[in-house]
Amino acid sequence: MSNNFTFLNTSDRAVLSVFLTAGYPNNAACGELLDLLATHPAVSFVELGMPFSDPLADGPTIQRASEVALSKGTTLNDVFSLAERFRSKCEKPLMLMGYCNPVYRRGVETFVKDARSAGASGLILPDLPYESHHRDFASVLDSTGLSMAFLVSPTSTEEAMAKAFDTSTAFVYGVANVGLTGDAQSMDRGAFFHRIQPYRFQSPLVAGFGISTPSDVAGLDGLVDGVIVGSAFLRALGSVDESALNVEEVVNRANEFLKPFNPVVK
Amino acid sequence: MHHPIIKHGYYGEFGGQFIPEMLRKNFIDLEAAFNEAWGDSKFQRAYSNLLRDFVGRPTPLQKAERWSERCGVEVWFKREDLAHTGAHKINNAMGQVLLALRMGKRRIIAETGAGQHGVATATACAWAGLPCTVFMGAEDMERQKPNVERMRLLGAEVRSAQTGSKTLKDATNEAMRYWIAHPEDTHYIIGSAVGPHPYPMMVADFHRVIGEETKATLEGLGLQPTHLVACLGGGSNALGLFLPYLDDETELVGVEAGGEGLDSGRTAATIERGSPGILHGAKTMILQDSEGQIEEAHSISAGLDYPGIGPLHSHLAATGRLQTAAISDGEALEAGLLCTRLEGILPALETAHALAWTLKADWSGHEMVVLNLSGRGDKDLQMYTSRRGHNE
Ligand SMILES: Cc1ncc(COP(=O)(O)O)c(C=O)c1O
Repeated sequence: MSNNFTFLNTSDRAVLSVFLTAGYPNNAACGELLDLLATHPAVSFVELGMPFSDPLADGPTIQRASEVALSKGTTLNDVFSLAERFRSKCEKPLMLMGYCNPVYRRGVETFVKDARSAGASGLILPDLPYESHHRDFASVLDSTGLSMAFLVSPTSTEEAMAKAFDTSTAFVYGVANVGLTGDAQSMDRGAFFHRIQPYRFQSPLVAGFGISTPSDVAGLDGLVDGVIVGSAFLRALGSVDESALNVEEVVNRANEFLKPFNPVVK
Repeated sequence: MHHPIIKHGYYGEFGGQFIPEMLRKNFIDLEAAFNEAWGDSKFQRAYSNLLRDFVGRPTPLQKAERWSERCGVEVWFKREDLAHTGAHKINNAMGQVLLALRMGKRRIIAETGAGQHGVATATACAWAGLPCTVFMGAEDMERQKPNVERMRLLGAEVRSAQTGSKTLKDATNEAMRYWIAHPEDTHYIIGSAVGPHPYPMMVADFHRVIGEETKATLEGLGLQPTHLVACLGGGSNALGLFLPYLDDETELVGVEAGGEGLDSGRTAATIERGSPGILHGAKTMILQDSEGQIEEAHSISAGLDYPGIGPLHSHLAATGRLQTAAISDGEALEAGLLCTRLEGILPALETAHALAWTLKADWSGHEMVVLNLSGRGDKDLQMYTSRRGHNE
């Protein structure tokens, strides 16, 4: 099976990926942010969050971003348009990340085909069980060439770790925290990522949840192939007050945020 | 699991475990611990003794003479309002606290809507000497103030959920998030027969004593009910009554909160108006829009104000075993006031929905109805008194 992420295995240092919520702080600004990420040399790939009303695994920052995006009327079609825009600017992999219900609501096969034609590379659905993946997703993903990333966390059993590497066709998403996206660090990351090493097999390993600074990234060098920065990126964008929202300003802030990451990643 | 109705955590096409990996191990451990405890006669004995000595079970099964006369059919009340803390919720809270102690958990969390489950859990935790945090929607804290105060007196911390509709759905999200961040030492006592497997069946099992007592009493009298009626929030009081009757001929009626009306867009009638989807880790009937975003539920009764329902109820409704109906805010208030005058029982607004249905239904007069009088209405005093003022 083709894997857009094999390049991760060949780089020596952990590459940087950025998560942002589609439609946040509004649709226009999100489009500009994607343009920035598409061309930014520090960013190797992108996760585009599909806003959901009840984001169980997300901390306050991404919850709030989803709420704002939904209040501005962001739909799945908007998500796909943003993906298309990103794809028209670059070849970097683009993952769509979200929750199961909106995907099932559209219909799995339709969703996957729409995502593929919008130029998405793969999916991350943290609340999708393996059985449902096998039954509802595996064959349509296979035939469209879209990949899937499963999560491992500090509470994962050995069996679950092996399964994640067996099943993931994009990369394995290592949850670098006991907690939610954006939570302050609550664990010994190094120990957890050391524990994963014996299970590594084919799929690259990418760390996310609570990673916010270049030194967080440096601390994982040699243990993971990539890191995902989400909440910290969204926080850096600043106020979302519509009256004060200045797209240029938002993009500048994003640029500032990414600057110190330059020397860390490949 | 021991229930023939469950296959791999599914009840027909409903149920499952749609949870992030961070919670997976908690559910593996919980299912194993519950199965082991439920099959252990020592656990069963400890639980039964608690239900007798602390909760005050068995609760009475009372023939409601004047209510029957008004409805034109024989109606019996299963008096869960007389259980300690004033609602059925305590059965589940005591069972799960016993389980948490057995699992060596050191902290309890819960979500609550009307506050009855929060009060029950805070009570169980005071009894067990465990610290307790209850998540409650900011709007519900406002409309169920007495229960907030009760929880605090019992030593629980009440945290307000400020997201979304600020009601039960959002309190449940917050509780699950807390559990993701504290997976090792904490047990989450979910308050209804909802959520990922094994919660729906476990909660139902801790309530099946309601139906078992009913069945034993009626069989002792040589009686067989034709109808069992209960209100549906998440569905725990209903399943508690229904479970021992699933294989009988008895008709099962679940009464949903119609809110301002089924077509008003302000309703909590999940089975009547919803569609299959995934909420709080289970596939079940939910209120959602065309994009798969969860819609806000609306009911005057905080305990029914939830855009989901237990997956087993979805299955029973889809297969025709469970009949559903919806009762509006106004109908529920009137039925609650009427019951207070006719029977001397001030019912919870949740329960009042079930009562209203017995007033409205078409009876031949030969039926025999058992209604789960799931809780008392002290917490709803303000709502009832303002309705009465409005009527006069
Ligand atoms: C008295 C009473 N009845 C019914 C309910 C609804 O819950 P369930 O459907 O789980 O019984 C509640 C919920 O708070 C309640 O307090």
